[in-house]
Amino acid sequence: MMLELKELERDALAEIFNIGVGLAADVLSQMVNEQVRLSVPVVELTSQQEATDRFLARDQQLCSIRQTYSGEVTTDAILMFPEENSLELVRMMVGGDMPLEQLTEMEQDAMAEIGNIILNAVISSLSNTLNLTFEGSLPEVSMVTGETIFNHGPGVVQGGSHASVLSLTIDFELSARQISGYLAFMLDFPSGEKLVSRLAGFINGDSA
Amino acid sequence: MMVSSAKAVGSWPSWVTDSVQMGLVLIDLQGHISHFNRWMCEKSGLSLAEVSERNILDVFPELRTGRVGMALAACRQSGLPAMLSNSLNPTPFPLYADATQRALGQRLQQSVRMMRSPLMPDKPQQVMVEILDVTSAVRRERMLNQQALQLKKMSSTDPLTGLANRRVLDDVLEREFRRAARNHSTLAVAMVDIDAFKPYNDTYGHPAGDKCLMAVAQCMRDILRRPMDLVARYGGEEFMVVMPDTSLEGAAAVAQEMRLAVQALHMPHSSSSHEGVVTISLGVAAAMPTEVQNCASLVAHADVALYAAKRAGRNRVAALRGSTEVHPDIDSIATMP
Repeated sequence: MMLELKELERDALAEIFNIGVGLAADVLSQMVNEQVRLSVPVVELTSQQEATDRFLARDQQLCSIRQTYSGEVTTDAILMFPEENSLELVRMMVGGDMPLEQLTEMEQDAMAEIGNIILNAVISSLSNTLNLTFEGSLPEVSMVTGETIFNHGPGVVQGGSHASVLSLTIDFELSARQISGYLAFMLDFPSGEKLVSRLAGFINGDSA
Repeated sequence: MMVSSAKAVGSWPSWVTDSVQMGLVLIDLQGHISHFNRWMCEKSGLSLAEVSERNILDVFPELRTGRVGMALAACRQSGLPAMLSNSLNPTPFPLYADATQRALGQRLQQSVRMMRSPLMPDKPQQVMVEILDVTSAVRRERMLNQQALQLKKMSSTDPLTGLANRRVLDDVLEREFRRAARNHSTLAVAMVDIDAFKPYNDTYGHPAGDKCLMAVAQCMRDILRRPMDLVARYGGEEFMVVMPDTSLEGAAAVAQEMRLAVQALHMPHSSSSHEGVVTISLGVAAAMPTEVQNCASLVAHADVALYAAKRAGRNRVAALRGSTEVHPDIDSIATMP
């Protein structure tokens, strides 16, 4: 059985996530002394296969930042940018004139921090609104392809036919440029079910 | 059963945390310091007595305003771990390798992580701050960056004139051609040749010829003002100017300006037929990429125009409009004041 979001639920999630990335944008703006805008235009709950088909190009090289959040709902959160976008993003944030065409070790750390800020903000917003508590792991950065993203890394959620993926597209605006990323929350069935039921409760005004 | 096995393993003795080569600080949820390892004492110059039970924000007041302090507050409240990279927060804590560095005010380059302890019954929660010294990694990366910049510069410039070399020219032409095709804009190029350069070399010698090339290159470079414009050394005494978003008339005007500026350098040239000074001829072509197939054909048009300028007596600008016909205004463009 596949979990699905009703339209109201999708709207509520989009609002929760937009509040989260808004807070992250404030932090990032302060860090670079420049207006950073973040928004989440698309939220979808789909199967892992569908998420791969819709949001990822198979052979594309991606920079991924991964954190596991556990609690009543356990999820592997993976924020991804196409490699060239990650280069542009990190060099806009850090400044300087780095000619290398790959992320250096230090730049990967900067990506981990940027990802950590966004992921924590989004999870905090979810946690506050739906009254869920989470414990988190530290971010890990890796370069992977779209094809292997869900089967890669030390996550706790087992991928496969029963796993759902809550997908967010994230638009990043800085220095009049726009960079898009993709955030996937991998959810096993019990976690997905719990999330959807909390959401339904929130919409119906039940105190969770 | 799980509990007893955990007990058997036990907690780390303090000599371990005092031996690790990183900073470890433990605070309670109000911010009071309960642990401060030896590495922290050494690098901060603070004794245990100076930090014990004190609030971390009083010990390091500068944390009150920065990103690290904010992250610490967020971690205490939300329990979500945070990581602060060196690139974005180079030296948040006043930590120094030794007394000399302290006197110089040279802080250690740092990378910071913080996490809250899991909730356990009857145990107050704590936040651990872990600080790594990444000074040598930062130095290594800076060196790598400098070398890469140097290599890039070496592989992209013509060593004599300092202009972009042929490799960069080919890349830029290709890129601007595609961009113009996408934007339906006009791309203009000018092919430039120093008039009677062989006799110049024969008369004044090759070192003087090199100086002449350098002077002409500098002169043309000074005239281009837009960041996307490029002048490159094409080979020998030939140069090429690439002007994105420029009409044929606009490019011809720039070419004309270059011609006059080189003439105004008054570099003596005994076999020149133009007042005995060094002059240049320029052939200009412009196209919307839909009109010509590729940038090679645009370059070929500029070449045709250059030969027209040469035939018409040198020290001239000729322009080619469209694909085949030499523009009837060629002479009026060539003699523009």
